[in-house]
Formats: sequence, C-alpha cells, structure tokens
Amino acid sequence: MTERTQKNILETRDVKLWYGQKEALHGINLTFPEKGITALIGPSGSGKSTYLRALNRMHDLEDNITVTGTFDFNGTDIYAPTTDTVDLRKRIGMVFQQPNPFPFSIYENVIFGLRLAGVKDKNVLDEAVEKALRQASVWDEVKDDLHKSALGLSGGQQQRVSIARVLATSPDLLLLDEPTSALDPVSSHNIEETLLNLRNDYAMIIVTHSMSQASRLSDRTAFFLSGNLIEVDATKNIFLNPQRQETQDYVSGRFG
Amino acid sequence: MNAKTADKLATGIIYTISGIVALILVAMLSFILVRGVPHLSWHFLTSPAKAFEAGGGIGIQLFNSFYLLLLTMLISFPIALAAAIYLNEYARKGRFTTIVRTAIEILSSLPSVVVGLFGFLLFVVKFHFGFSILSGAIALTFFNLPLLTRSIETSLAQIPNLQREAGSALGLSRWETVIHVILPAAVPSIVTGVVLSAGRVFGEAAALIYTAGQSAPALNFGDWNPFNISSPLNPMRPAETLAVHIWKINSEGIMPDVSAVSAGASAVLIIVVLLFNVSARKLGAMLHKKLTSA
Repeated sequence: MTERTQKNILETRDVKLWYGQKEALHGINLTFPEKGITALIGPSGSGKSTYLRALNRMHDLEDNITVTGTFDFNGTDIYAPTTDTVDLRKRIGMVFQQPNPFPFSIYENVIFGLRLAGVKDKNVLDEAVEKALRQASVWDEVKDDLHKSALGLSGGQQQRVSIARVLATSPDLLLLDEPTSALDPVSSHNIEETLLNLRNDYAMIIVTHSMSQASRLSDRTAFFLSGNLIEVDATKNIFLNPQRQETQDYVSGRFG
Repeated sequence: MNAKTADKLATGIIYTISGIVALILVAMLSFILVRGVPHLSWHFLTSPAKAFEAGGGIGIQLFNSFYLLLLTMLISFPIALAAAIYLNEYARKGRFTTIVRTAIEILSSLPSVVVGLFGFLLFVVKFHFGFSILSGAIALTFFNLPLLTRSIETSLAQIPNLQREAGSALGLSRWETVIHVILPAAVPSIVTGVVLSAGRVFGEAAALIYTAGQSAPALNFGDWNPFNISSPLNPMRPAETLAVHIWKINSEGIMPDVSAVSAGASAVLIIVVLLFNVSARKLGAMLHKKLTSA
C-alpha cells in the first residue's frame, strides 16, 4: 500500500451502522488525506453511500439509525455529544445525487450560507458569488442571469450551482454522493472537470457507481462490498493491480 | 364487449358524470346570480339594513363579514401554521402525533352548529364576551383551524425532502431550514390554502348565529377607535354577518322587499366566495413566479 506523506483530514475507525437491528456497516477503517479525491466504489447496497452520509451525520435526520466508531475530523470527534452538527456541516459540505438548488435566484442560492452567517456587505457577497461560481466552473454560463431562478437552469448547471453553494461556505472537506448519476454525459463531464480543478484545494470523497469516473477523477479508491471495506489503495493499484479477488472481480466487471 | 367499446363506454360515463357535476354548479350559480344581480347597487352594498320598510342595504353585514374574517384569520393562521410546522417538520411517529392528528380530524368534522352552541355557552355566557365579533371569531377559529392546519401541512409536505437535506447539509439547523428554505418555498401554496379557507369562513352562518349574534347595530364609519361601541373596529359589538343576515331575513324578515334583499345578499355572498376561489389560485401562481425567479 502506498501511504502518502500527507496529513490526514479525517480518520475513521471501526465504523458500524445499524438500520434498526440490521447491521449495515461492519467496522470500516478509512482515512482521508488533506487534499485530493478519494472515490468510494462498490455495487448497490454495498454501504458506500451509507458510510459517506455518516461522515457529516446526515443519518441524524432519520430515526432508528445507530452509528458507532471513531470519527476524528481534524481533531474534532464528529459524534461527540458536544459537537454542533450545524457547525460540523459547514466544515464538511455535501453535494447530492439530485441537484437541489433552493427555489430562489442563483445569487441567493450561492450566498445562502453566508447570509445566514450574517454577512451583509454587498461587495463581500458579490465577490463570494463570483468566486464560488468560478470555482464550480459555471460562472461564464450564468453570470448574466444571477438574479434569475436557479430552477430555470439545466440539471448540470443546477448541480454546479449546488457545488458553488457548498464552496461558498468554505468547507474543509467535500462529500459528493453520486453527483453525476442524474445528469447527461455532457453535464457529467463538466462536473468532473469542475472536481478536477478543485482537487488541489479541497479534500473530496466521492461515491460513484461509475468505475470509469472513479479512475478518471480519484487519487485513491476504496472498494466496498456488503457493508465491508474490501480494499483501499491508490486508484491505479485498485484498477490495475488489486490485492483482493473481490476487487479484481468487481473492477473487471465480473459482478456488481 | 371488446376492450375498445368498453373503453369508449367508460369514457362516456365519466364525461357525463363530470358534466352533471359542472351543470349543477352552473345552474345554482346562474339561478342565484340572475335573481340577485339586478338588485345590486352601490346603495344596496353600502347602506344599513332596514327592518320594516323597503330600500335597505347590506352595508354593515358586508363589513362585519370581512372584519370577522380578518379577526378569525389573525387568530387561526398563526396557530395553524405552528401546528402544521410541528406535524410536518418535527413530529415523529408516535402516540402523541397520532392523538394530535385524530383531534384535528375530529375537530374538522364537528357540525358547525355544535361549534356555535359550544361557543355560545363558553365565550358568550361563561366568559361574558356577549354576542360579539370576538366570540364569533373564536368559534370560527375552531371551525377553521383543522382545515387550515391540514392545508398548510400539505403545502409543507409538497416541498421535496431534497430541500431539507440541502439545508442541513449546508449547516442549517432544522428551524433555520424551515424558516429560510421550506416556508419560502411553500408560501404560494400556503397562500392559496389560506384564501380558499377564507372563502369557507366567509360563507359560514350556523356557527355565528349564537356567537357573533343576529343583530347589526348602526356603525359610525367616522369612528375608528376600537374601544367605542359604535366603532366598526370594536370587537366586542354584536355583528350579524352577510350569511347570517340571509338566514335571518328568510326566516323572520318582515320588510316588504325581503325577497329582493335576500336575493341580492345571496348574490353578493356567492360573488365574494367565487372571487376568493379564483384569486386564491391566481395569487398562488403569481407568488410562485415572483418568489422563485426573484
């Protein structure tokens, strides 16, 4: 295994998760470096999304889900009773499968987090909007329509506005839950470009069921199967020289 | 009979039944309007009713109806909004939620005359509110609350869960998500629901007979101090509404032009309720457009 000489932003140990009585994650150990993209791959129901959503405590919204294990996020224990989920989720941003802009203007969408944080200065907000939309590589397409509804955009543009909205809150870690699976190939390509442009500035974890996407985007890949982490390594090794038979079978398309 | 014929037959029957429903409505409306509209005039809409001679109007009753509606909404909307937010955004499935929901359902099926009598005993008699707009507004709140709560809850439930996830993923608390994301998105449909329920409240009579009373004392429209007894804004004065007025003059009216007044008042009532219904949709659509594309 090639371990980078980089500081880790997030270390998780022995992560277990239950839906009611049913154990869905069976003790996952994964660490994530400060920068770069880690892809979580695996067949449907393998637990990759479930694991991802445990990282910013999205499961808190559901009843009946229990999470255990150690989550060390830059020294913060994510599941400590004293941890403020509101603050936590500002530092761990999330982009979902479906683009989900709010039914407001593009401008209002992007500065939403800042406005709630009490930023009022128009210049600051204007700058933040432009910066975030540029980072999400959607600025050129929407710069003349900033005050039109975000719902009027195409799916791919909506998704990039959703990414810009997350970036505007300056997170340290970005979680992406199959961010292109609801989009057409051209839009998917645009999103991938966007993510590649961000890889040097952010730590990103992307759940994808497209192996080609994982190989194009990620620096490291983790393979999940039936609630277990089978293997994690540099993406190149996972695809070309996996250590485990299950990984070999999956990446060569023999099941899943 | 083959599938095609059966399909045609079923389509025909469905069209006929819908046609009958529409026909009944059109027939009723045109009957009321044709009989009533010729009696409408500015004088009729603005002057006070007369008990023994011809030429009276419905001015005070009309004002009373609107004022009572306003007060009812002022009381019931905040409660309904809070209840709906609780039920849709906070409540988890459990015994308490079930009890609240059942209570709302039962409340909405109470006969309005029973609500009226209850209001009479409790507010008019026990609390010494007398026959007053306040008693009427509280009674109407009982009547309106379940419908309004249900309608707001439906509006909230229509907002996709993605929006709630997006809110919390952005670091919003549940309350902030409700206030800044869910409510703004639901405003158009909430407004539609409120205006529609306003139409129902406006036409309600039975619950008001024993609460807001059956008399319409003269009002001084130059006096807007709500503490004066002749002020239109005084919530403690008895206030016969338009719907109660129609019921009353038809059962014991002795003015010579009673049928004309009744027909005219009915037409006004129907027109206002229709206006509420039409404007509810228009207003909702307009707000939606305005809010979503800033």
